[in-house]
Amino acid sequence: MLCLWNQILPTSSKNMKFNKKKDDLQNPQILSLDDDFSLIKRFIEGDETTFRLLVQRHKDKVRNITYLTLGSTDAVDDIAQDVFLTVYKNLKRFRFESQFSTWLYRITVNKCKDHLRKKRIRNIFTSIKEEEEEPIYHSSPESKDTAEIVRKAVDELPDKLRIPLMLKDLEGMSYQEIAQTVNCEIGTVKSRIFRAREGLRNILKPYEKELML
Amino acid sequence: MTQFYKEYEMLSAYIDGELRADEIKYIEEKLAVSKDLQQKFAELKRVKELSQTSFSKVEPSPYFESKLIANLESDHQNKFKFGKWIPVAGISLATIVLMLFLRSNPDFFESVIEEQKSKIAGLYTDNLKPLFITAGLTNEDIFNFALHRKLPIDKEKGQFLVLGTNDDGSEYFEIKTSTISDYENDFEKFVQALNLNEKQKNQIDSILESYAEDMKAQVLVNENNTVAISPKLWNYNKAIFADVMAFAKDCNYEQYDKIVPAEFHQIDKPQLIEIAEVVKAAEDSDYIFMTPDTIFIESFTFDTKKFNNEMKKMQIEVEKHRKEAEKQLHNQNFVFKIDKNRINVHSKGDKQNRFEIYIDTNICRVHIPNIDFDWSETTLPKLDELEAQINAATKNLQSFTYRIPKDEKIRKNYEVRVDVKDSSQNYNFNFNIPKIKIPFDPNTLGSDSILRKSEAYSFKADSISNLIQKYFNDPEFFNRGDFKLEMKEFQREMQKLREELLRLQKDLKKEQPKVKDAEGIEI
Repeated sequence: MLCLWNQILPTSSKNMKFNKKKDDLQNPQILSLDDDFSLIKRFIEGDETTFRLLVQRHKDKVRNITYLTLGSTDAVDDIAQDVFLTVYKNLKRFRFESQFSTWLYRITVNKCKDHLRKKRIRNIFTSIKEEEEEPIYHSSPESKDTAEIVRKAVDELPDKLRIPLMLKDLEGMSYQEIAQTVNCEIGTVKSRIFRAREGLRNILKPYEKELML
Repeated sequence: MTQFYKEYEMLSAYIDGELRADEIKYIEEKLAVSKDLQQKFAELKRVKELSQTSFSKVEPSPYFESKLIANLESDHQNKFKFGKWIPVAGISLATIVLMLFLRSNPDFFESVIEEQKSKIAGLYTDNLKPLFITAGLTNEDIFNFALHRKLPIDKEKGQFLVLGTNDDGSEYFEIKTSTISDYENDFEKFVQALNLNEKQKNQIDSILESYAEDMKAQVLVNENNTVAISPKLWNYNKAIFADVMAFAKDCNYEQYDKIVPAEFHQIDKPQLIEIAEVVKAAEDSDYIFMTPDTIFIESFTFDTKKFNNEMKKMQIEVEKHRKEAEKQLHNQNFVFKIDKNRINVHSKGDKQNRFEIYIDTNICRVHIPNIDFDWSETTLPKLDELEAQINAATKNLQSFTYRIPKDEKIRKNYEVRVDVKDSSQNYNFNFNIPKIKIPFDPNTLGSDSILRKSEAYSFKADSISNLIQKYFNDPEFFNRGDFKLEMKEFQREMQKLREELLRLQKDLKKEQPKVKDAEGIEI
């Protein structure tokens, strides 16, 4: 079933293969049931129930991107809710010039960036007021949990390096999809992902033995 | 960009499967021969493995959809809640309409206020009657008014309307109890002192009587507890005095100099007559209305002729009724069925004040004693009521002082004093607001100088730049638009911090208050 196939495949490859299948498909009626564009068209025509289908399809991805972008689970649901509210309000103006998922993830990343920006400013002022001795993102040498060490190291990366790295390594997006999501050139994505890995390696240098770097 | 850097970057993309075929071929060839590239490849691959394996998927949220639907519905309802905009829209529309209307009718409010004012004034000015009609002003009263500025309101209770002049020349009136004996027979003494003959006596009587009529309209009262006083009363006082003095000077110049105060000697007769004429000719229709609610000055015309006619009619009517009543009372016969056993029974009591009853076998005749007509039963105003009216109307005519209690913040009392003591009803509000000196100049709060000096707050600019460098170690970053936006946001937050610090500084100052008053004394 096409529906099952759509759920199993990651979004990027799903869309790619979907397009290939579209040409071969004998019955386009069945296809339109699961196609994002078809759902959006039905939504625009007044069938708002299709929005629920879009949410069901993309909510996990949106929540996961939010989590990876933020580096914590604190505000994941709030931001994801906000993302879908924004989508709902603007869906009737969708221009079908890019994949729905690309548009959706761009909104998600932008919301996350906005949240991080506010959080960072709050942190700056908190550190000034309370005269915190060290920045909040700092690896603790005592920590022996490898995954935790890596997560903290990733957190120390600037957003512009960390977000493409996460979208690539965790979400499996292509450079092109990442470029569209974060609104930059593919070459920039390539450079940033490399710099992110280099930066991560430098941060993790104290643990190179434990981490077998 | 160095060749090494470019190849490292290609290695990273190679690991991600993002290289074209020619790039793959190139990097694989390089990788085969370069130990450095091989080491970098291993490092990058390991870093990728670490990042991929260190993060787990976020936990599913079972209520995500239902919460979203609820949020959407709430948002949808708010969007279409026109009801909440109705008051705003209504007020806006009403404002626009009002503005347009006022633009085309600039005098609208003034006319409405005037109309309402006259309507309210009408409530108070309705059915005003002269106060002195009941008091019955005699020539002695008029003379005393001219000399002592007192008019009797209720002679039995010794209540007088007294005119006075303040030190600043402003005039006032008051209603107070006084003894009439102070000025008793002053007019008679005056007549005797001047050795007036009968003709001259009649002349002075005539002069005073002529004013009595005019005086009626100067103080009016009604059943709504309104007392209306004409400001002309003060002028009448001067006019009567001038008229009397002119007459006295004319009649007996020698005696006049003896009995009249020295300052009046210089005023000649034409001057005195002129004063009287000017006062009589003045057409001032304003009255001071004192009501239980308010005091106001309003134009009002009292129709003396009409009132006199009404009074005459009423007197005729009263007289007619009195005669009829007397007639009816004297001729009233009562017929009873008589118990013959009670024949020739006479009632007991004083002959003058008893009913006389004569009974025979057929009739019973009761003679009602001669009863004088009781004037108290007429509808004329009662002095008791007048007293209440005047008391109510004048109860607010007094000075009062209000003091705001001591307050640590104010540190000196504010005083509000209201004086209502003159005829023109001037309200004087005196606010003694203290000048408080504070230990710093508030005008300097906006400058950076305070922040520069405020080492005590541990605000170190270096710490910010260190943090920024730590977060944004990319030199290109600082030229990007998003960084500039962030910096603007940062500046806004800095402004907030500065305001917070200033508040803190103020609070610290408050803890050591050294406030001085205008004289430089610490309070």
